[in-house]
Amino acid sequence: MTSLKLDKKNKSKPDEIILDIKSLSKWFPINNSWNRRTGWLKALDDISLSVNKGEIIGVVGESGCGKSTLGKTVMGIHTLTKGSINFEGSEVGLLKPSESRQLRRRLQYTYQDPGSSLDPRWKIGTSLHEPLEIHTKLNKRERTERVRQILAAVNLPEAHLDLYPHEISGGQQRRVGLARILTLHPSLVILDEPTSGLDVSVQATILNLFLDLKKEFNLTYVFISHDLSVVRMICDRVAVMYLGKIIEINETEKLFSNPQHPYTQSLLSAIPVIGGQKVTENFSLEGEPPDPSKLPTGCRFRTRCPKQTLQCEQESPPLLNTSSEHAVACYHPST
Amino acid sequence: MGKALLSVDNLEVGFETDQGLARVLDHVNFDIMPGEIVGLVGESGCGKTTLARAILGVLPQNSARISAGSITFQGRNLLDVSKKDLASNVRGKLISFIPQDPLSSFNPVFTIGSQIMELMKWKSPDAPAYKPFMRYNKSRQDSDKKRVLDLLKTVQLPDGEGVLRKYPHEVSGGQRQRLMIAMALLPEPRMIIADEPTTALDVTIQAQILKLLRTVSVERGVSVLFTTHDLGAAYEICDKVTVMYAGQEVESAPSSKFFSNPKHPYTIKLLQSLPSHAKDIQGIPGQIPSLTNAPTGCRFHPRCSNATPKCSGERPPITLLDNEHTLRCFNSDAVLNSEETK
Repeated sequence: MTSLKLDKKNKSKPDEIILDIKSLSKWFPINNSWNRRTGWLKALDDISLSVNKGEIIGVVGESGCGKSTLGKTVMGIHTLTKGSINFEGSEVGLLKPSESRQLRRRLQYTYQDPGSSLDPRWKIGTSLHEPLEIHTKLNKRERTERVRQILAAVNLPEAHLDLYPHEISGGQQRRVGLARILTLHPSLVILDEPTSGLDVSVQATILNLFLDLKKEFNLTYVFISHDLSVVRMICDRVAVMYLGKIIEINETEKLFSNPQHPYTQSLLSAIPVIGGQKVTENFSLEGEPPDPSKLPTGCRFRTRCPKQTLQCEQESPPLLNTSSEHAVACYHPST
Repeated sequence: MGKALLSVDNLEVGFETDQGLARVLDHVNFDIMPGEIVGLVGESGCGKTTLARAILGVLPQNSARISAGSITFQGRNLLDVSKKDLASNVRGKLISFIPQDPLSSFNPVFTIGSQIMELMKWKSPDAPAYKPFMRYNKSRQDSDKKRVLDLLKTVQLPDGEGVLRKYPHEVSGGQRQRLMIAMALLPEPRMIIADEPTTALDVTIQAQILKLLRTVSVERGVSVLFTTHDLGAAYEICDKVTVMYAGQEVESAPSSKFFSNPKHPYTIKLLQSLPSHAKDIQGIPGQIPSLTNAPTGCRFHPRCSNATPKCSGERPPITLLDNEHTLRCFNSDAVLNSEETK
């Protein structure tokens, strides 16, 4: 499989690759009642992706397609089955625990539900001090100073340090979650569904905050989301996943204006657009994704694909580059 | 304009909490015509679900207080109907309900079939009036089962027999939501309340479910009250949209007018905060007020850029702009213009 590299439009300033994932697989064993392994659930299968410094790459797909597993495997929360993950020159899977702790200062992950990832019995202040206590040798005064700076960066009043997580709103919890990882000055942040569960008016302010913080702290984001309109708004590049594989990747505008994989096309046509044509009048994709433990042979999308042929049934289409930025895994892409 | 199927007038609902009375619905008014799909849109905590529950008569009895207003359904005020009558003849018969999370609405230890047949026993259109220890004889069971299978075909579940033998966890989220729609249609109701029916679903499945909901509503002439926080989903299927903010309904208009020409400052800001690649988006500064200590007057005034002292003093009256477009605001250009012309 070809690995994708965003191309140097500007030869004088080559893009630095911060995260390089090569043929990554993560399989979960399926055990029967006697704890014998009866099969594998291929949550990620042969995924290659490289992320350039300073970009926002979106990973989209429906629930169960493996996008969160991808984020967690990159973080080292799940151990990988095959392949390699290279972050800032070191191999994530091969590090000793002490080394991987160093690595995690630079590579951070925000959980989907910040309310439940904050300790309900700790005040916000304690939660914000904790990462600094673990990862740095700052004394209490320096830590307090750092926490104060971060709190200002995410637009939270200092009075919130003495509140408990349940006393603040969902949007504020999201800000605390962000503040908590930013205190360590990471370089890559994996945002897992960062806007799910927020109301649109709050979502808009949080998205603007992401963009401001990216500029202020020189961040790179991996933006995992199922909300395509949000992804279109803030990502530079987008990778579309279906059942554990990347099926199309392109620069955001090109992907949205000219999707080539049949799945990408139906996914995009399913987004309701206010003022546009109604999806319910012309939406044609039928059925639901198959059970990931019983994958179809060949192309994984073929059971729902209008264009399937014998070839799709026999072999799985590789992810092939059609141009420097664009790659699609389909035997019959539209052009 | 015909006669409304359901009309809610000046409804006020409060909840007693440790911090005092939370006034969750503050003089809410709205109508649903027969066969119409009305979207009730608002952010979390604005009272959408409370309104839906008030209509069904399932508000928590020890804390909820209905202090004023009426809910008129087919000429009857549901607030005056006895609990027994409501349970056996209205809820699940004339008005049925589609929940947000179908998995937790099924009983996990019974098959889907046994749960649907149980519903059929009590609520099927030709079921006799409720009696304790009612028999459910074979001939009725057979005819009811046939009706269930037909309905499963309507909601595009082709293998009906197979699905009925399964347990709720064995079918996918989209199929469960289809089953919920089928169950809501079983008693042949006049109205369905769908409470965020697509929030838990992926976009492609959401599109299928919305399409289905629209089709069954049109084919059977059933009204749908569709509560959602997703303006996109409301745009897809609703004939009319009502926006709520912190327990007050702020604007109500036919879908076509609502999305092209919103008038209330909150609605305008809400539409502006939708993610879009084409323009900068803005959130709404501030946050939703606590309902135990709600702002006086217009509840949106602390976050509104057009607010004047008058807004905090009294609740803006409902202004009828033109056919069916209503607005609760003192300062919207539209309201000021219409006052000048008067």
